[in-house]
Amino acid sequence: MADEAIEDKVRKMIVERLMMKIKPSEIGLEDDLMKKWDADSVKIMEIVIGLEELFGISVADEDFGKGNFLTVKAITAFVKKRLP
Amino acid sequence: MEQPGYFKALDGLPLYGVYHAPERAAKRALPVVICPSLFEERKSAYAPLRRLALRLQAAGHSVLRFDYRGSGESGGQGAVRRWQHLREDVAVARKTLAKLAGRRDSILLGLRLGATLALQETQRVGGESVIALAPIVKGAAQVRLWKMRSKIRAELTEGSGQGKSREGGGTMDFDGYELHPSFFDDVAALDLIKEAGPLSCPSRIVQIAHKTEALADTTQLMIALGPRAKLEVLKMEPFWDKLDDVDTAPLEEMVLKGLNDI
Repeated sequence: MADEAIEDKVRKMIVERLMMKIKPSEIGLEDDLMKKWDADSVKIMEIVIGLEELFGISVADEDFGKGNFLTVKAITAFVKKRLP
Repeated sequence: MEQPGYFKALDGLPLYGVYHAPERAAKRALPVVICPSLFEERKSAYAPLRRLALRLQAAGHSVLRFDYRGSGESGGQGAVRRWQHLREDVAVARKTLAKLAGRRDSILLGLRLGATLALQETQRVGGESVIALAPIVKGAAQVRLWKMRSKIRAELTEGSGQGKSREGGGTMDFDGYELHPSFFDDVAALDLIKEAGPLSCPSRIVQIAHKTEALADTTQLMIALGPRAKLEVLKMEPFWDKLDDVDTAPLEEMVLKGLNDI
């Protein structure tokens, strides 16, 4: 799957799961989700669960603590590594 | 009027409760025990559940809100609390409300862990009805989420010393809450789909999520609970996870309407 396709799906999922009142395209690729979009631990957790459901991947304990889920860019790279 | 006070758990521990006595009790308005959640969920949901209790009270219901042992204003320590203790506390809260309200029939209304407890207690001894708000259906999945959240908090607050869970010294620390080291095992063993059987009383399961379609676990739970269980779906932010107060008026309306239909 192309990066852009993953990015679009991720943005759409984030907006839907977090019930944000914005268009998915408003989330910049390198926006810090925590600083710019007020993502706290619960929201990041929702995003992680959303990724698992959307892409059929599993997130392991060792995937945390490495900034994998703090920007759309980082999330896309993470998903791409785990897609078959 | 809200009447705070203490009642005794099975082993004598003081459990804190707030009794809401209606100005004029309506015969059809069944007394309601509100079973809260735990940990940060309890804190975030405190105001919404209090508002719900006040609305029920205004509608003529007697209501008891309470804290499980080792939480809130109740006695006891989280470090020795097991799931079975929570179940006992719910049973005692129900008996306490029966004495306060002067009638034995009642409804358990629970949120999250409290909803799971409410369903289990109703299956055990029956009741007029049960209302389960966002119950934890599969404990193993919930424990995984809690641990995941802890790791994410640790990542977001790196260096601040917050958000870490630690084990040691016969207790476990979960985001600042002391737990019995086997408490997570107790929760992980829960599986409402496997353990639930058809309910003998009318009940409401309320899914509160970001979507209007029933989630897979919810659908399976409804099958297990049988034809007397009705599913209500509310597209709403999970207020038990929010730092800011959330408008829970739609939930209050739904609960009141559901109670009127019983």
